[in-house]
Amino acid sequence: MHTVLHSEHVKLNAHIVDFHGWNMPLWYESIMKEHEAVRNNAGMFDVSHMGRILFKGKDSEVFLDCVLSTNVKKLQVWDAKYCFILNENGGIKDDCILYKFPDKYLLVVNASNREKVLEHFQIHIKKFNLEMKDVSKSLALVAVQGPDAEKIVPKLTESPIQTLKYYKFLQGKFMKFDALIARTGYTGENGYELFINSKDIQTCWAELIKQVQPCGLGARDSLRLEAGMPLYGNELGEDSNPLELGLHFAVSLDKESFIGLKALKSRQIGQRLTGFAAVNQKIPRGGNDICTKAGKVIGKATSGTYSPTFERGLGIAIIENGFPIHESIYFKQKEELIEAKQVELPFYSKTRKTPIKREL
Amino acid sequence: MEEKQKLPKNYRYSETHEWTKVTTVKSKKKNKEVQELTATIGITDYAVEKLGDLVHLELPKVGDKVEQGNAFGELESVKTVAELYSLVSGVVVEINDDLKNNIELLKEDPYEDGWLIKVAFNDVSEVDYLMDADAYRDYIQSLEPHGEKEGAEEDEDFFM
Repeated sequence: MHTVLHSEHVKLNAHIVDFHGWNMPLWYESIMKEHEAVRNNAGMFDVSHMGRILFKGKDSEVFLDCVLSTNVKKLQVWDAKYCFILNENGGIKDDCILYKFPDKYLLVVNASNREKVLEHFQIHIKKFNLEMKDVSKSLALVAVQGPDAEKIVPKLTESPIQTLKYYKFLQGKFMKFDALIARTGYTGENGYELFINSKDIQTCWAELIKQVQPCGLGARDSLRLEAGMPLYGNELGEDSNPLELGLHFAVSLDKESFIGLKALKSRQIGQRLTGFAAVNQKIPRGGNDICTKAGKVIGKATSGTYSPTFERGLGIAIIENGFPIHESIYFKQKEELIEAKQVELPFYSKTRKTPIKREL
Repeated sequence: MEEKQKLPKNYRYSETHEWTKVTTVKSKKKNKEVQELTATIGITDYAVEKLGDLVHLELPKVGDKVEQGNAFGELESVKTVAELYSLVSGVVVEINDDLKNNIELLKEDPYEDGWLIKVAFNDVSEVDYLMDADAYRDYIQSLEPHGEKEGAEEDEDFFM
């Protein structure tokens, strides 16, 4: 499948890969250059492959409250909220962001999980009175991220987006087009995500590209890893326990009920998520065993990459809960144990009240 | 767009994107004429481009044994790590030291100055199984994603 911006990517000579059935740019010129553009200037990502589902009608709130891990009733209008769709066992079916409008809800889900999530909702929606609609194709999504995004995007809209707080959004105009402008992202930088009708997005992209570096999924992955943000399929899966992963902020345990809550509460916490940094030039990769110095396996790397910001190999791993925080861990590549230092996640974030950049 | 590198005609290519150039030196040993075969091995510009930003290269040492189809080294980029496979069985007689300080040579000149290792080997039939330039060109074309052109455009207006 192609997003509405596919021809733009081809024009830019993007390196295209198949991402869960979508032909998407992995990079345009260089992951390193694109990564640095987002950290130092501004970068933009076509993320129109993500699933967008609209909920409208009387029972929208109760339905979403039943299928999502967050307390939907507590959300304010124009709030965005990161949360999970759990399965019956308390595992993660998908992670998603819910946007609350005065009269409806928009849910952004992973491209890889869109169909699975829609099927899951179809089963549970029957006893409720609401309309669910997949608007993924009619609504395009472009993320503009980085310090300069905060100068560039406000100049292209009359809406008061500079005062918009993190995880808030508004409905207004971008250039002359109807748009949702959200203060969300997946990079650890401040910036915006723009939801614009597919028919208008090319004009917006053409305007933005005058000032903003287009970035592919490669930089998106290295940026989110530095920002300690989980990726479905790597850190998250149907068997994952969100509480082991330290993602409590996305689960309202005090809710009366939602799918997966009961099972989740009964699950043991045996593991924890940790960041780690290689002490030499080796680069950890998702799937590497994580061991003690003596070679005993205590977990698995869920993600790994070369980090352009820290100029070394960084990873995220799920390891035994009891393993001491201050001890080195070792990632295993071809029988070789490579020492790494555990690092509290995130490695880097500018969206926190106090920006974080760990000393490695 | 950068001009695509031309695939040298006299090289042979593998499905794992290595190339090899075989040179033959005739010499006399104990009055008998013998042929000494050397395979220079590198990776193609297609592979280098696919890997993206290169960060780390690992090569064997001179004197190490390599075997056809087995990995002799690793080339690592930001995104991934690629094993480098030997196209012949033999002994490493030279490695390209210039790459140590200038990994970018693999990008700039993958078929000449960006070679990886030279291997002395005996069985010339090992390279017969490899693709020639035309076959390799067809092969890499077949690897490009060509998903169905499903139009994403829908004129529907979300904001109505």
